[in-house]
Amino acid sequence: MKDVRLKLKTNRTPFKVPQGYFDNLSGNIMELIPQEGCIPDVSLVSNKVSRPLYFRRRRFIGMAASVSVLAVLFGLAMYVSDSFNKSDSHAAVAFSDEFIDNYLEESMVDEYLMYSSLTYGE
Amino acid sequence: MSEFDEYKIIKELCSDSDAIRRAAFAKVVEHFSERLYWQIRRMVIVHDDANDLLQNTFIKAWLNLDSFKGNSKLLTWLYRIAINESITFINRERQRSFLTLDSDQANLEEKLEGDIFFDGDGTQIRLQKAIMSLPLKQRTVFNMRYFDEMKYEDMSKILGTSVGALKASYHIAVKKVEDYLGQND
Repeated sequence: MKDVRLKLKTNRTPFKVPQGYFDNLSGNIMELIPQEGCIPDVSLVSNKVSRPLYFRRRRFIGMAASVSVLAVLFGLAMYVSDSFNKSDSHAAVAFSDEFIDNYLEESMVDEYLMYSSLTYGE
Repeated sequence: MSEFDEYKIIKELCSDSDAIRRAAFAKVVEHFSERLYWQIRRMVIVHDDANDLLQNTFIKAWLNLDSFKGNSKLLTWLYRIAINESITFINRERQRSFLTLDSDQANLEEKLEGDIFFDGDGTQIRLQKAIMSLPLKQRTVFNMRYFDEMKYEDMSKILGTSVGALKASYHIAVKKVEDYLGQND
């Protein structure tokens, strides 16, 4: 039976190698490997052999951190600005035109004195 | 031999340190060299040729590590380089000697009989001669499947041929080998 004969394959290979060939093989090959090499392009690596998440997303994480810091700074700036605006509105209420007119009238300050004090005050 | 952790080795091959990458590549050579040697040897028959092609395979792998994308196993990637090297070598030999398919077979048989590192009995010699009668692609498929018992899916990645075509190629090769052995009983 031809089929049977072909399936009776032997593990013993008919090919031989010089004695000790495999003992020194990797060392001999490494002696021939040039000093300069290059790095695998693992940016497209599948999940099984990919780099850890931090290495793969390093640029993204950096950008996200920068955006977060900018957002916090912007929020802080808006809060401070809003506080100043609120203070200004309080001042406007405290020193309304009517209040100033009354103040000037009661304190006997005429326009000349007022403008003089404003001019020197600058 | 120390345990081979492919994930760890690939990470080391990606290191910025030349020393770490070189040490990792040495582990790759140590782990895969014997298996690749036998695949090449079955294709080119002569030990010295197989030894040269194995060295070329690893030098090319080292110099082209950036072509390893990680979407296949290291062994698959190395097999592809080794098979390409072997086919290029066989084609170059044919061109240099102006060999036809028939004379190519005769040339291989001559090499087999003259190789001091071949120690087969009568059956093994006939089997090798039967394999040599196959076209190069079928011979490659036959060797990978019959001796290495490689999965068709892995062969498909190495040879860039569909699984269906490889199965067909292997079954045709088996039939031819059986016919050869039947004729030469």
